[in-house]
Amino acid sequence: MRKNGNTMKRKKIITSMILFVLCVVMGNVFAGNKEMVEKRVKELDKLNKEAVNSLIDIPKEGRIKIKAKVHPYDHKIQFDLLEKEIILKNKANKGEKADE
Amino acid sequence: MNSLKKNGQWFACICTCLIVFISVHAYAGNKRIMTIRAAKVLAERALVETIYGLKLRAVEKVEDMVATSFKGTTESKTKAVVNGIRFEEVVYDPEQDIAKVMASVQVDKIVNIDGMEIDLGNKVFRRVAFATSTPQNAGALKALRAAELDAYKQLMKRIVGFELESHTSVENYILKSDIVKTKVLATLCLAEVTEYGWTDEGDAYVKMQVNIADIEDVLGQKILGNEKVIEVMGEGAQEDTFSQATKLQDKESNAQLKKTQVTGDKRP
Repeated sequence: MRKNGNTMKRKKIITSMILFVLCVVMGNVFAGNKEMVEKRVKELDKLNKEAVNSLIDIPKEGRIKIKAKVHPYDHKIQFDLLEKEIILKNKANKGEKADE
Repeated sequence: MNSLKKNGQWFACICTCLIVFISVHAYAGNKRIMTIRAAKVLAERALVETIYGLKLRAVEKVEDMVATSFKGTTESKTKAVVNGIRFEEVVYDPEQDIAKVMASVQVDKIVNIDGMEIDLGNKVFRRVAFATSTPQNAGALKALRAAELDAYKQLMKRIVGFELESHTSVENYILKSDIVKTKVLATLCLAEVTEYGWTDEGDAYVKMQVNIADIEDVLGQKILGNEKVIEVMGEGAQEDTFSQATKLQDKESNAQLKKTQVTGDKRP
């Protein structure tokens, strides 16, 4: 009787261990799109900073609005400025259009 | 009398088994045909996208560089009549109810999506497509289509460029991206799939390429850069872990908001 009780306990432990391992493995089976989105967000941030740096004389403080055409080629990027608006902190609006 | 009764019972039992067996197989046959037909239609669409071309509109927007605010949409459209499509390879997996079809077509000349006549010199184009009639098994195939659209989008961005719109704040000469938005609306043809598959994690990838000389002929203008071939790799996921994470974050922030409201109410 005691032996039977022990084997039952062992079986229960083994079954719960297998179930736990399965749950952990199944949870990690799909990588999903979260990583892809996070990577894309970083790429967009990098692209924007590169565009602003190459197209605008950056003020010490303020806000910059731009609209540009982006042409990636040979691991480089060409930016063509379409519109820009620079709002300096505590100063008047300095908005202007690139093609004007 | 008894043996006759027994024989009758046996006969009825065998008949029932036969009916069940036949009906099950008849259903399986219909499912197989439907799945293969769907794969054939998708292979035809893939060929049309390659030869005639497709129109694609993609927008990506992120605010304050917070991944949860990211929104990305891609829409594609194509419509054409292509004659002479042949199905070279049709494979059906009855266990997973997935069909794979390879379609090919030989084309001499075609008027593409932009209304331009292209001389293809009897080139043979091949595209592969998968389909299933079982929604539970569609995840991997949807991921593959998402990867395909991502690859088309990357090629278009590389060939015709894209629009960037942004709001950036500056503090002590340090840039902080507030809103970044990219837009691409273009047509593309003659894109060929060179490789596709799934990673160990189940995400799909599609490698696609275009010959620059062919594209320059179609566009009638030179494309920036010295590359002869542009190759990109599109990615697609089976599981929307991003939305799940966003929902979880929303729930947590709502709970926090409620907590602060409750504590705020208690204040004199």
